[in-house]
Amino acid sequence: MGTMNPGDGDLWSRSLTGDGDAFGVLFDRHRDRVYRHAYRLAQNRPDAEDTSAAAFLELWRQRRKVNLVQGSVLPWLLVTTTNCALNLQRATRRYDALLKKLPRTPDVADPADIYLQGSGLDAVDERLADALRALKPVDLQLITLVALEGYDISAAAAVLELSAGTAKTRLHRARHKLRAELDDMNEPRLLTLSEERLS
Amino acid sequence: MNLDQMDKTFSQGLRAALVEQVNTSSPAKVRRHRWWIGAGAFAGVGLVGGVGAATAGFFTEPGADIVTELGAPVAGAYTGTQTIELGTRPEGSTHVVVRLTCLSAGTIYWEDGANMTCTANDERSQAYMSLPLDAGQTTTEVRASDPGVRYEVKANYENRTPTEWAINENGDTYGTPNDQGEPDLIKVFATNGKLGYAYSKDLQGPEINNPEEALEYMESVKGTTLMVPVYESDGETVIGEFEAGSW
Repeated sequence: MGTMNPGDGDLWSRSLTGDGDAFGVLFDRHRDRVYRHAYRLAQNRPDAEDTSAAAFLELWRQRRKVNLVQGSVLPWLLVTTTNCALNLQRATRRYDALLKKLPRTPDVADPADIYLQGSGLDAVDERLADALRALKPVDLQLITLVALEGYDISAAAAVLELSAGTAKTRLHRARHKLRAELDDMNEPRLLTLSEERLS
Repeated sequence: MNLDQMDKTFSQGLRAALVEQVNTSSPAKVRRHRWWIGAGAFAGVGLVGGVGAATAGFFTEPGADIVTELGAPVAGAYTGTQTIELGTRPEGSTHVVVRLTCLSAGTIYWEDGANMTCTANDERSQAYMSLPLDAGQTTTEVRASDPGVRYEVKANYENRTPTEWAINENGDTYGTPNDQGEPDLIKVFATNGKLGYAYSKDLQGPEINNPEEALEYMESVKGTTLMVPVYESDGETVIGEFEAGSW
């Protein structure tokens, strides 16, 4: 279905020549997937927003290092979203002034309320978020790309600069670890990113 | 409230900020032969406007050219060094904007010596330069590092009318670099997203006369990042910082 999903190559080339509208279309195209993944890790709206924004700003700042995988910038964006979520403070400090200026809808609900309103989808599953964040960063990246976002191992290996064999072994172990984490109900809950910032 | 989606207000604000940031950037990968600080690493990227970037929508900045495209573009795919026929020259043409797209690995050079190097991963990388035309000139040469290097050319005549730099209270010029050179304060995008000005003298590296000195210089700055202050147009009020080079 080439015409329905033309890939990002053309929009990305145009963005690199300074075409902001092309970059805007890339944002429209990937905004929801990036946000959903950021929410999956951050578990509250303000952190998920900051993380998503930082990922897109990094996409532009690091534009000469970005690899398109299967014609798409999304794998790179997802990896960067994970990195930004894992180190929210450092990742967003660079953009602090800009993030403060972006408009927000007022009266954001308490994260606990947001969780209670949750639909039960993985995007709002706090236990999954905790288990994911307990993984080593590389393993988290692999689980994100392959298990949660449906990329094949070779695409994930390419964007993470791993050999296919290494990626496969790590993914196998990470899946086991994740299962073990999710089975253990008594494991103390990890702090959310915003709680960490306050403590 | 839809928890699966980014908040609409936030999303719109972020989108506008991203679009502006891209619009106000210079094209990637273009290397001028002038030695900026970090010339080997990034040269000119992040400086706003300037030669070759004015078509990105920065017409109002002091010193930027007012650009009008003239006639129809010519386009084609080429291999190796070629002289490109630009067609009939419309009246008022002062420059030709030449867009190059890599179709294979290699280095391609614009007529003025600016160049773009692509690896196999950079396929479809694109950049453009606006080149001044000599009287009666209706061709432009694109040189390739190797006879097998493939690329696309899209070229269009244009008229560029220069504007003057502005002058602040200290008597320093500010605006964007142009064919006349650089103003004292150059428009840049600060790391915090604000637009401001960096002193041209802060952005220039030491004088480098030969490749040995260049290598020596690159070695001496390896692993460092140089941040320079970004000011309002008064050249005194600091509003952020600019990454002048990272090696």
